[in-house]
Amino acid sequence: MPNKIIGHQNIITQLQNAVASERVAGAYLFSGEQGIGKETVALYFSNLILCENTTDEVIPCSECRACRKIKNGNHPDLRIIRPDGAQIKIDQMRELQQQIVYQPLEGERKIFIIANTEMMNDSAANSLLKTLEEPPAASTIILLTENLKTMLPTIRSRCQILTFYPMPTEELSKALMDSLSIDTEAASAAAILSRGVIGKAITLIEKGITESGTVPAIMMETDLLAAFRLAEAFENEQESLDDLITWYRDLMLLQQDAPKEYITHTDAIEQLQTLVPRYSNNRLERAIKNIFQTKMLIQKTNVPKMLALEVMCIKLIQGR
Amino acid sequence: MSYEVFAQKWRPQYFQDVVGQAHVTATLQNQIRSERLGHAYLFWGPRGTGKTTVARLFAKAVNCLNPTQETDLGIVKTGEPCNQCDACKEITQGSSFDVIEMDAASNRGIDTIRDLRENVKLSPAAYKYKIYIIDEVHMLTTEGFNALLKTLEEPPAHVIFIMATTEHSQIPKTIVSRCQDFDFRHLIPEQITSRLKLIADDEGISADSEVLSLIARQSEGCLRDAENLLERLFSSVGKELTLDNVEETLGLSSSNLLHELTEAIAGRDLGVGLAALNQLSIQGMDLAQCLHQLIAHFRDLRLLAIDNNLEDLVQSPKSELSDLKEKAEQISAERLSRIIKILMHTNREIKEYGYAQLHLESALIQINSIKETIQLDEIVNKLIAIEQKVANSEMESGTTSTSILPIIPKTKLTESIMDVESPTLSMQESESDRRTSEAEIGKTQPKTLRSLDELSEIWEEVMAQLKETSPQLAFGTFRGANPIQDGEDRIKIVCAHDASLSFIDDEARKSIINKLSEIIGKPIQIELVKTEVDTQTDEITEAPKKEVKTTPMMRKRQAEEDEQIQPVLDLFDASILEIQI
Repeated sequence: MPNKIIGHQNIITQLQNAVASERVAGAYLFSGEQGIGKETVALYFSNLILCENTTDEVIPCSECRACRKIKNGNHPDLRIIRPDGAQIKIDQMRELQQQIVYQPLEGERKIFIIANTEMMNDSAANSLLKTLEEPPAASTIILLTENLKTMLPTIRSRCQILTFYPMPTEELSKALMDSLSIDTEAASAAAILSRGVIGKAITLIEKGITESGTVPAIMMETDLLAAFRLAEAFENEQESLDDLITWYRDLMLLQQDAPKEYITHTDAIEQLQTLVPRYSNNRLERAIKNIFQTKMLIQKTNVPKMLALEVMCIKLIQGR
Repeated sequence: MSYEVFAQKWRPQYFQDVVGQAHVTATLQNQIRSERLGHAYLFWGPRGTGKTTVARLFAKAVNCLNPTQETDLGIVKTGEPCNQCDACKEITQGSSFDVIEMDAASNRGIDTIRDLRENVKLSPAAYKYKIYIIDEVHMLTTEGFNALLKTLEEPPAHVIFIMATTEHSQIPKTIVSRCQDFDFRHLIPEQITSRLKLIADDEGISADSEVLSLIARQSEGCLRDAENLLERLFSSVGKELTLDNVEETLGLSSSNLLHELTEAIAGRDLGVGLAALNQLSIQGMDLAQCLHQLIAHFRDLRLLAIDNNLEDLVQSPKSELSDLKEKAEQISAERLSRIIKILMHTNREIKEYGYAQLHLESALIQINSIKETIQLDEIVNKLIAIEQKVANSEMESGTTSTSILPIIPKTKLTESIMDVESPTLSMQESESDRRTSEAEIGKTQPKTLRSLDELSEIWEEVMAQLKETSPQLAFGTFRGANPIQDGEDRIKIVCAHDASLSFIDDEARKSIINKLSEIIGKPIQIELVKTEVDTQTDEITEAPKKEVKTTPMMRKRQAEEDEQIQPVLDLFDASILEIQI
């Protein structure tokens, strides 16, 4: 359990204030993209609430029984509920409802963290409504979601919603340098490539991807047959579609003569410049939309991944 | 007593405290006063507007042990709960045996309803009525709903059902028809701010009206959302709420940057726009929220651009009004509409795919490339002017060259359209059928021939004679047949039935010819054809139907791949947004 959270200072302060003034609400909803730190902050918040050494500063002492138990993941008053398979099901919520009425065992509060709430099915979400509206005293439910828009409005209305935003890249690269002891260039490249999402930045560094790379082959390709070869390359790399979008965005900005500081892949700027005449603004917009749609198809439908990727590559090369 | 959030703590305990639902509370209070209670109620409406609250209040008011209260008018029944008696206290605490609040979303099956049916029979434990509040009732299963029907229709006299839901459409009609239906409405911002003011004052929070109206706008007309927001601000910011720290906490863009962005959009300054956007993103603002603010801003601008006097409808603070008016004069409503359209489109994309910054950037680029549009009728007028000019010059020079504009004469146009529309028809028609249709067209322009009336009179006469001589022809073969003039001495007889034709032998044909020649007075040729009229019309109506079945996506793709449209798209660097037929 880290004692200090990188970034999200605004949210941490809000939560600290709530604990300090004993105004911890019964239901919170943390929203933000994957890897941005929702769960880390939720655990930190639980730690704040359950820590037995209260100090003026409102930070977890990490020495007391509660702090150590949370660190080891066996505090009896903290439960984390995760999707059972592809969904969070109504039975899991019923179980929660049974448990939540009991008094906390060791701490002052029972805390339930529900991760990936966007994967709740409809009946599970509805069954939570009454509990969220009036949670039993001394209990707090923290919902974590990657997609606030898909949550029921009735759920949203019952929670205190805290939205997590990507960190400014400079701040993130500084934090990465401090905590992971890597050099400036690698840190700033990771920060830019992850678009300020700390979880992604750390994964990138762990994988050793710290260069903003070369222009993706697909942007220069004109041969339709190459689509199949390229699609295969995409299949192996989960993150590469996100990356591809940033390349097209760069091209779009370059085409509009936007200032260089907004470009993500500054290393490859000259190479990108040579591509500008080949792309019309419309073609770029279509390309970006195409990638988004493919991403959505792969994530949310049962379309064969390879097929979707091939179609995408063909369209990108054709410029349609 | 542990800490309660505002929405719980400030849950109204009297009908008079319920905000914005006077149409519901007044009716219910009247029913309580006159003791004309229904046995089943359905409360529905948006989240956080008071459904559960009113249900509990109603349960309390009907069971209240002191239904009369002292007012200025003496001791009267107000229809309010007293909140003093045992009944009121127990129900408020949720410990009464006679008010059963069920969570239909967690207990949604038929078993729950069977239990309920068993318990309904028992009389109340302590008070007058036994009240079942079934919350989130839309989540009951179909079996659950159906099991409830009989009980709901005629419950025991001591039972009142109150069902509450946000999804009225998911409640079976059979349930709705057994209930008194009460719709709860969104609150208007003034109602929310006045309620928030009350709470803020009591809790010792200092917040000026701008902050409160900001919260009200954020809450989309749902009081609980507003109360939760106030709660969150209170717990995170403290007792002093100012516009700045509220905007910061909520991730709303500061007015300055947003102002810069709108200026850049209106003034087509892409560089400034991108810079402002980047700055917003660095400050960690919620870009989706910014987009909402942008849309609201341009909506206001458009209103003022259409008519300077529409200021009542403008939602921006009054202090910005003169500034807005000034801006509105510099930009056309047409352009504003297109800006709004692009922003709305961006909003949808962000909702679907995320990546707000990227989508906003491409929106800025798109808006920047909007050219000042020319109205279609303006173009047409210009074309007409050119045409006249050309015509005039032709008359002067006396040449007979055709007009430069390829204007197709109207008649020719319609013909060509007909040709295009019925290719399948003409292919299916037999040779004689086609002549029929030609004859029909000719019939509308009679030459020297008999009129239709005349002809049908003659035909009736023939039929009358036929009925006597050969009834099988009159009642069978020629029933419903129609004669059509087809040339000087030819008459075409269109038979109603397909099969009829095969029954007509030479003899029958001869007898008809004789009869017709006799009546008309000179030799007549006839041709017998089967009718195609009915099937024809069927096909005409069917053909476009088949086209309608294509989805908008398919149509769009067709259009994109169309050989004629593609060059146009490339030329203008355009894309197809929608297709209207």
